[in-house]
Amino acid sequence: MGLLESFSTQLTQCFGSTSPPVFVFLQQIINGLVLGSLIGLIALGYTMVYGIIQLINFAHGEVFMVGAYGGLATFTYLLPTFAAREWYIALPLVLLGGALISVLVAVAMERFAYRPLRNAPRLAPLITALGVSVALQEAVRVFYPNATAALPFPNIFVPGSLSFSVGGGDIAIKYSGILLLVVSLVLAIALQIFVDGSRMGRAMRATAQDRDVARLMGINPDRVIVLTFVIGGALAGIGGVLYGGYLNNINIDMGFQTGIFAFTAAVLGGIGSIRGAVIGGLLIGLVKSLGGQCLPGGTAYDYVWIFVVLIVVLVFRPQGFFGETERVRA
Amino acid sequence: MTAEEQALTSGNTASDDVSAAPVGEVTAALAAAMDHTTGTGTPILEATGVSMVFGGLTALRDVSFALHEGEVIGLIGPNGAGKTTLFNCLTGLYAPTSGTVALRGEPLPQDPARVTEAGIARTFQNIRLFPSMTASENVLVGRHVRMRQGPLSSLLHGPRFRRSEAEAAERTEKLLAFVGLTRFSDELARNLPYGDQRRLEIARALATEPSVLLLDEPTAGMNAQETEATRQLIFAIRDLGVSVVVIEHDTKFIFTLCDRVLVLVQGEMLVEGTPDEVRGDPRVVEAYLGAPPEEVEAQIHGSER
Amino acid sequence: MTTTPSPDTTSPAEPLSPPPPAGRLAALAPRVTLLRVAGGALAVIGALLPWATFVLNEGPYPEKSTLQFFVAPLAVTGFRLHLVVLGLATIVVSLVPAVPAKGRIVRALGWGIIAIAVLNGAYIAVEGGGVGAITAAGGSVAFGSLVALAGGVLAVLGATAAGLEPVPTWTWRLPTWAEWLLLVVVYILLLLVVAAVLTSGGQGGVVNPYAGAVFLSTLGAVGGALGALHASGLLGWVGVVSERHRVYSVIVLLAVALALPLTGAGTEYWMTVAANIGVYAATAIGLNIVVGLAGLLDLGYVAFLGIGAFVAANLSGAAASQVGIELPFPVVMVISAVIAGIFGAIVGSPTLRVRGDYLAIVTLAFGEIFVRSAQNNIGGLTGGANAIPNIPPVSVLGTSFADPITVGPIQLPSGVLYYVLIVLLVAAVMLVFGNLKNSRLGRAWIAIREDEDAARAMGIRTGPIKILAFLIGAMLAGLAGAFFAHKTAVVAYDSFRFLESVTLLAAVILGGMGTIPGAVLGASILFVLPEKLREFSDYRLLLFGIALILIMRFRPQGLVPDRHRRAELAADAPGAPPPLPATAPVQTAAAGGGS
Repeated sequence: MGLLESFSTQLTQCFGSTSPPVFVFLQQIINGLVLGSLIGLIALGYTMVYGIIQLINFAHGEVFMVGAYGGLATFTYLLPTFAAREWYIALPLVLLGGALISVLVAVAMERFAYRPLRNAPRLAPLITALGVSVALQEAVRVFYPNATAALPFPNIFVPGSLSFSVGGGDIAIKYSGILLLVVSLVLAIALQIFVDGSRMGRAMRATAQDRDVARLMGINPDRVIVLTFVIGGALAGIGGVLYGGYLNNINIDMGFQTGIFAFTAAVLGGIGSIRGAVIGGLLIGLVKSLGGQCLPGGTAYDYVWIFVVLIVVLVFRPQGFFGETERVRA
Repeated sequence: MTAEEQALTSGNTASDDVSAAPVGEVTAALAAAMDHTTGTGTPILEATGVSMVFGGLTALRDVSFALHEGEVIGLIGPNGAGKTTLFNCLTGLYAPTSGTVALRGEPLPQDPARVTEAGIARTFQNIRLFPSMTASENVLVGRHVRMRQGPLSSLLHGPRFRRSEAEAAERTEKLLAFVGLTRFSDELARNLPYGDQRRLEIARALATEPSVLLLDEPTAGMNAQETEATRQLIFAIRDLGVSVVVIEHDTKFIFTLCDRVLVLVQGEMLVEGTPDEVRGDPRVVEAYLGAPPEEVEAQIHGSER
Repeated sequence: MTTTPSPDTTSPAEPLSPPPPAGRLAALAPRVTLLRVAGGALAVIGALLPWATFVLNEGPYPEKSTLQFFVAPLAVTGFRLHLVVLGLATIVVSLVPAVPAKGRIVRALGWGIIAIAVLNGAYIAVEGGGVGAITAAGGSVAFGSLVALAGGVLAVLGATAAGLEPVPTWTWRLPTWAEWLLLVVVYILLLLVVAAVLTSGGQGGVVNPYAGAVFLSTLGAVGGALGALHASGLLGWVGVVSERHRVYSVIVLLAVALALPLTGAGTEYWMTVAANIGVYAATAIGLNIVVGLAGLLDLGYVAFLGIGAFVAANLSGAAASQVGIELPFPVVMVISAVIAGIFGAIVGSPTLRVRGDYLAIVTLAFGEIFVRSAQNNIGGLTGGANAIPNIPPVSVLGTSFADPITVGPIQLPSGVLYYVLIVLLVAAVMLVFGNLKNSRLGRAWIAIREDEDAARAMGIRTGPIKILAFLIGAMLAGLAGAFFAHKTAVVAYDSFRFLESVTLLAAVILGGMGTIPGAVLGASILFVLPEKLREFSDYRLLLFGIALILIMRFRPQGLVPDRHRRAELAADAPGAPPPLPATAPVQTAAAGGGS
């Protein structure tokens, strides 16, 4: 009863006579795109790792979270005060710190948790990934100073926001949001070029197709897999720092949720596809922001809609938009 | 050649505890249980104009054949000729793009489980046992479709449950004896020697009480002795009243086993006839010589054995 | 008495002399007996030495660890008593020629000694402010832990140096009445051990700062002793005997479980702990159907427990309930199970199209949707952040289950009725699991887990049967949920988060997938440990995550492995036994003799 009522109110709010002005929609779309570009950036890590070792690396979301804390630590403990004041010095250094920590964590988890299980039954690495996820989250909570609560994240980019008037209202987009959007897209394009064009990229694609044949061709699969984790880790770390700068606030739970969304995005776009991951990420971002605006339940249920999308995609189009169709084998 | 064959056979039966000894007595019991009316003439399985297209690739083109009761037919052809695809069409794993498959005149359901229920059982080219179940449990799974045991009776273990379990256990024991695996009944399938795994797969298929048994390369990777044991086993299965279709690369095996042989080349039925007819057919020779080198090599290798 | 005490007669294939040991250990081989005896002796001596150089901050460490040399050798208790027992056992086993599988037994005892020494030593060192606490400081010396540790290491070295013998198989057959008597004795001993372990160290928390250390140490001692019994082949034999009298065993075990309130664990606190363990055990057994048998990974399983709990809460007549009716508890249980089962079928329906990892994610998504909806008080049914409080206790014939009761002369603590109820519930759930596993349906599930395509080729309609696994598993969780709602009196969405699903999964895996004792053992460990280790509560989840990684790495088959799973998961492990001849249990031998 309550649900139906809220459903109709929400719908009238969005589409009926009391529909909010256009600028509210535009604002939501922009928010969605910024969030979506971040999700896409993280989805790249999922999609590459899954493409190569068929593992849902649950802990990848935590790599993103660790990156944010690594960035924060770099800013708080390593940066001299004069450097912290100027964004063009602080930003690259904090990004570097965050990415470095994330890469270290990602490589360590590959080496010590996943590699020993490479030929184990499939359940084993998945459960290990859950364990890694819990352990990483808790390690940050226990060992990072005051991490039990959300921590403020400094502004490491030009403060303020770009705003303009559209459709009878103002739209604002933070400069840090623009940065997040642009960096994500640029990194995704760079990754696509790397995978398509370089020798190492070809080795990655070969390993994804058939690890044993790749080995026969002189490719060292271990190195390729480590490289995958390095790239995924670096992207997640950069994402963590930029997201922290965008929201000015980080907490230890941010990894899990974002990680699930990123996985959804990766599946939506088609596992193994870089384009797919980015487009999937943007779509998920839009679903969250517009769903919170227009669908029943409002923002309290925006996560629910993402999970609904996830289920629908996995059930009806598990190969995603850009993925290959599965063949039945007998 | 045939004399050699004979010598090999008799030598085999004497030494091998696996093939001959238990078969005789158990066969009678099993045949009685299976209750098939053995007779020839009526086609039990009939494929008419079956074609299968994957994307742009035509795997099967207008294939027709009929399998009669109590018959053993062989399906040969170079790699990639569409033999396994045809098997998958016959077991409901694929729906043919066009054409029909009928079992006793009834069209085949589009679901492997229902096909098995209707009476077609199969083995797989690369053995697909349930590796962590024991040999007898594997066969018991084969009894699945013939056991009348709903979820509730599974839960309550009443007298009817116990009767059906006892019956299934008895059949399992007989089937394991039939293929000569009694001593391994409590061994995990994954631990069985290779040849015995193949035999276990056949026992598991037989447990579904099929009227048609499809064997996908049953002697692949076997030595001469094991191959011979398999031949005897297939004869014994035929004697139970089960019609058999065999895919095999080893042409010598096929020609000495089957009543009729079908040759499939590039998705088309090239020749169909008795072993003698097929052996003498120039097109078959050509198809095989035109095959890729490793195929020819396999042929040579096969006839050496 | 027609006994033939001849261990190791059934498997002639096994080598009589142990396999040659590897590497440098071989040099020790001629002196193994000396090493083992020395190890045992050191453990005993270590037990009698002082363990701490000063009294710990929060009072004397349990069992007078600062006791001076030989002050009261006959009064040793607690971990020191465990050490003495294990040490003497090591010596006796090493010296008595008739004992089979000496090396294996001594190895287990040695690990037990090491566990006790390390746990207590580390605890004293940490609490006492460094290594000085367990060596020499302030004019006093305390080398107990180090001596005991050395003893344990010597014992293990001595045990493995000559190679490990296979676990002997005992073929004793006693008259039926004797075997029945034996089983009763064994189960009562089991009950006493369980009660002792459960209560060891007492209730955790501020009141009792040493609870965690004492508990872990006891666990180590019991583990070493059980390992030794297993190594001697006795446990396996008892298992065979109880299998011979299956129905009888089940009845005795049930009676023994119901007798727990009569032991030292018969207080309100332990009854509550045991009831909570029961809830998780029942749920874990349900999950075991889905994951262990059918091989379908469910990462949102705790939602079904939640659905059962919320249904029961709404039908309980609690003030916060929207439905506002009060039904008798048995009816509520049935309704909870049915509704959870319906949701189970819905969550399971994607299995028709989705397999493997993707299915795991779908179930995770359903679980998250449940939590979010419950958090937002969907339809007013879950109370949202306020939860549904004040759920009345179950009451039958005017007796509230929350009250203490008196049976004749015996005073039983409050919560004992809940304990009885949950024991019966878990027993019922076990029966369901066991019966299903050994049926056409159970075999179909296992076949699907092993190879879904081959299962379909065997005529198994995999779709409905997979959904049935979800449905039945969810119903069992729903039952547990109904109990949970009344027992805890409050149902909040917070109890059913993702982490709880992971914990349940971990319980199933830790115990051993596909087995009943495994699920119960796993649930017990994962529930009792946090209770006991309150002082580590900050590190609880961290340790949990690390433990999960280590289990998957080193013992993926769990503590009580399923016969099937054991073979599957242990195959890749280094030093796995050769495939065929060595694994010849009693039945194989019998069948082989018949053919």
